[in-house]
Amino acid sequence: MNINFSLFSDELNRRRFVSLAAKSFLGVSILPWASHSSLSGAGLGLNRPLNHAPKAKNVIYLYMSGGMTHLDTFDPKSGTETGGPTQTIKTNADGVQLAENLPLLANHADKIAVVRGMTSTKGAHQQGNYFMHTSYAQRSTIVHPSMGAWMTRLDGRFNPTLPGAVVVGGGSRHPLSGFLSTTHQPLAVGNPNEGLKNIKRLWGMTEEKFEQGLDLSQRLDRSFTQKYNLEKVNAYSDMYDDAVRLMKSKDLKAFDLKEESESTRESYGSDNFGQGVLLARRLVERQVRFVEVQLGGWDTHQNNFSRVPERCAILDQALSALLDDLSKRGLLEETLIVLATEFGRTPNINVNDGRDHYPKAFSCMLAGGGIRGGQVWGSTDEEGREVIENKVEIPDFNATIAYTLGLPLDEIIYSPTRRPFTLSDKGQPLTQLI
Amino acid sequence: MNLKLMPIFLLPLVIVFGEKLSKQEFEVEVDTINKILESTYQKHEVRVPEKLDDALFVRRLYIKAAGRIPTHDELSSYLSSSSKGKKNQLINDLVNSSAFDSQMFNWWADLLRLKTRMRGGNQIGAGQLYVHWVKEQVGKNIPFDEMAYNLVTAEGYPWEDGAVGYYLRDAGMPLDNMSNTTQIFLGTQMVCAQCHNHPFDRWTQMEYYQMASYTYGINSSKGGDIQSKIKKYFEKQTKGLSSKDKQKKATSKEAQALRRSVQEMLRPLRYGATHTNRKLTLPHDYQYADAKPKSEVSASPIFDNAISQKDGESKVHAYGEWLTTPENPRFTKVIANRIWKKVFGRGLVEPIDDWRDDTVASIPELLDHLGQLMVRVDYDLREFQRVLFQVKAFENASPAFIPNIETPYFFEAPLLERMSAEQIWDSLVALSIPEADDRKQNSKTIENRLSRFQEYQDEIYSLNADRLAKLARKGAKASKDINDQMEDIQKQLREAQEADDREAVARLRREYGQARNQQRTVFAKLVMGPEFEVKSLYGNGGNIYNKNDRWKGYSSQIYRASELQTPAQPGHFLQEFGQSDREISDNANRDASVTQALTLLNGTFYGALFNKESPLMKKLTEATSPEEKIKVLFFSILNREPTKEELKMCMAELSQAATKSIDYNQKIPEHLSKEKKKVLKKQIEKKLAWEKFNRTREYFAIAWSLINTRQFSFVQ
Repeated sequence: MNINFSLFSDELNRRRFVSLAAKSFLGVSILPWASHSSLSGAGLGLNRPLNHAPKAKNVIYLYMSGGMTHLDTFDPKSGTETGGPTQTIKTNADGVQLAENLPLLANHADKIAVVRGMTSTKGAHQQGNYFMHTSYAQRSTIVHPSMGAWMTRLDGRFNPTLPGAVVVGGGSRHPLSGFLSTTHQPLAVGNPNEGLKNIKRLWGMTEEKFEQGLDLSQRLDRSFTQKYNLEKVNAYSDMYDDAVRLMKSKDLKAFDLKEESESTRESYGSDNFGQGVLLARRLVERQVRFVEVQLGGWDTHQNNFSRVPERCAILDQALSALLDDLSKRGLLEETLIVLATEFGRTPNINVNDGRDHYPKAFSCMLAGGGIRGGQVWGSTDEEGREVIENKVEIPDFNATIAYTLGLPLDEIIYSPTRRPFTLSDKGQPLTQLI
Repeated sequence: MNLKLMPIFLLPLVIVFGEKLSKQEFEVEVDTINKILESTYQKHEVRVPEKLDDALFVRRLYIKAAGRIPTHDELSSYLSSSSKGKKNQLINDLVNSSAFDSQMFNWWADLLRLKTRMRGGNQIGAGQLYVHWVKEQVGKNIPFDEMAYNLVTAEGYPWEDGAVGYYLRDAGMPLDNMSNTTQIFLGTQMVCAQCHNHPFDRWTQMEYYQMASYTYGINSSKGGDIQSKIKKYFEKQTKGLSSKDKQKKATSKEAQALRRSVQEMLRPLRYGATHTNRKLTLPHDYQYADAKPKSEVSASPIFDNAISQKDGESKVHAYGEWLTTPENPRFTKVIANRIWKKVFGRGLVEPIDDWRDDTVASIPELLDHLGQLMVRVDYDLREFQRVLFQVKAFENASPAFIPNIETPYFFEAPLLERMSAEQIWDSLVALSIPEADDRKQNSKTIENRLSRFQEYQDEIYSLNADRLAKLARKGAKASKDINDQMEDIQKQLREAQEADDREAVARLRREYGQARNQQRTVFAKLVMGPEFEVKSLYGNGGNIYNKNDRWKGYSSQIYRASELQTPAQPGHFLQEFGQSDREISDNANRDASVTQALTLLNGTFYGALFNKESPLMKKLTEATSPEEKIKVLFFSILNREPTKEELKMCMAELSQAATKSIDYNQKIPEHLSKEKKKVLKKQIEKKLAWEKFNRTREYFAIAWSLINTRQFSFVQ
């Protein structure tokens, strides 16, 4: 069995390479997505029906850091004690109701799929955040890769000069490329308004001088890098190569938000998150595969009902602008939008008018990329305490993301310590959403 | 000779800290560690690497003890000194320097998740006060056990007890606070047990709750006593009225204004810590058979050493003692292991904050010994590190491998590591400004804030209820206009938000902020008199970066990491290189990234570095021959001499013009008129300066190449 498997998997790699090469070198996919479905037909797409033709090419991943309350956003329970003062509103899609905190998104509900049956066992920020990003429980002996890194590892970059994945505002302990080689490391951008800093050569330095100087560096370092031929030293050589390629990229202007009209910039919201989402759109337009933008401040142990509307105002504006913008540009079909968080918040409202951590039931959202809009998947009980229908574990959710992209869920990648991993562990995709 | 320009280790010691170990004891300690390591090498057949040469050893020592690379002067005077005891002298001087405190502060900041802008007490800038307090303790070298005890037993207002920042940092989250405590001080991860029995460790949810009971009573809002004093007073006033009238009075406009006035008056006194007897109960979905959901939990420690509460001692003090006593099975070893890792790049136990019952150190005997040493030096981290810096293995070159975390390492030398974000930044700072360690925030500004708070507190607490009520009435009147204005702005704000008029929203928010400041001013001055400095109570108390003529002409941004806002802004050099974002403990990383490469290639810091007054540039200008100049660059940046080969490579990069010496003796013909002589002299000066600058520019390029080597950012 194992032998067969590895044979298949080599075959898969070879054939995938052909389609991948076509995609990345010719800019667009000349072998239409059929190549993927035929690969599934090769017998490995354990989780995929033969007729599945993935539509999504790139991902914009919005991460609500701190644990977004499900009860005051995507799973409102107005009229019950646990729902608090938050009201429910109708949307432009029958059967999809949202909290009043998301009025703009309500006009785009026909484009989104709300996943209300999310459940997890990780009730602490670090562990929950890690699990959502990697599909694996955090261990102290290994760092698992995040989705963006898996994606470039399994499916390559489409733009040879821009990074394959970008994280905006991700903090200092994002799992990034984990045990995968640093060439898959997402590029971290701190402030989207500043774009990519330090991208121009120093004043008075010609290209020739620049190259010469780098060459001198390398020669001076030779005995050091020979002695210390170690991964963490060599990683810097890779990073320098990437940096120089990036400096020369014709697509660098993707990072310059000033190229957008004032009105477009404003439509996303003037805060860092809104501008980050706009940056994400500019990047996926240029075929950056995976762009994550984080919005913090969801850890509402206190004053939940004044702080959540503030957070939602930011999210609502940016997300609605994005959906609007992408569909106008005809990019919504090929761009998967994901909204995720580490856990929900307690239905019981605490003495500080806040809600505490609650991994048992929470909500996430998907849109674009072939996801059928206007639907709600799964539900919680009247008080938002338990998932009563269509429970979704985090690896299943991540498998769904991978599925819409046509990534091989069963391809095993070994860590340097020779341990086998797959991109969403044992997660099963929610094919019903597509 | 100017004292300030002397390298640290030649300076007469001004402050001599009482060293915990006598000279003889000290030698015994070092010797014992050496012996344990040597027998370990024999047992495991470890090949011991060669010793580093003096220059690279000094580099390593400075990075570890001073948090930056040595300056040109510091390095050259060490190398040229023929004193036999120069290494001992340097170690002693460095651990007693302010540079040592600077890097220790960074270590604490990562451990305690220090944030200048902390959510708890944000309105009064409590984060800044907490940071200040930690810095003070580091400066006084407060022993680690005392520090830990002070943190967990902290109580009062931030100006009474700066340690309350430990609880304000986690305001409203007493359960999380306890898992932080066990992780930081006991190296024990209990966070999973917050919701269910730990899946990989032995902790049950019950044990977690029992432990958390010790500090669950923490209340991080203060001023309740004054509030109830006023409330009682007003209740007396309405005594005898029918309940209907009471109700009417309480909801009247005047009463509302009065309540608001009281709120505003007490605002500076709202943040701090009080330990109460609030009981912790199990969650409603508690799923184990040993207790019912929502039942009360009684406090009980997680380890076998019992908590003994003496007569008159509070629960939290007993717990503080239990935590920090040498009898606690983990406290001492965990901190000894942390500091060992700080010096050698890897802990004897890894990971350093996830100890289990079956955890075995790579060299158990050494860990035991380090634990004993920690007790013998009374948890003095300065003294402890002074010993470790003298250990023989600390002088050896890093091996050419890095064992993975599951493979035991026997410490034949410190492991190769990239400098931390702070170490790289501080090294560049020391190349860019003179006497970098001395350039500090003005702590007087913060001390001043502390005094203003204390005065405010004293004033409010000295007033009787009658007087307080009078003041509140006066405040309600005095702030009526501004309150009306604020209400009006809020109304407009709502309208603007509905109309989606963003410009107006931004303007109104600004106006609201200004009005709020005015309101605060009204109340603070009402209580304290017209001369009172209101900015001390809110905001950062004015400029903490004073102009100082010693750094006239140098960039105003170039301070050591410990003197900047902590953590640095997103996108700052420090953040790019992996400074902790301070969300969780021990959160810094040293991983490579594209943005780091971009920063080292094109970063703005080169502006300060290539300033003609920077220490690097000054040394460069002092050197005359091209060879000397290149040596200056190697010495300043890589802290070693170039090899012949390297010298040749660098020389080959220089243009002919750069290597030609400048003719400074250009004659001015005698026959010219005085005027013409003057003009010509000026012209010559200008030309010389230009030639000099042009030559120097070519050396910038070499400096740039050196900074972009791995040798610069790694410690070998």
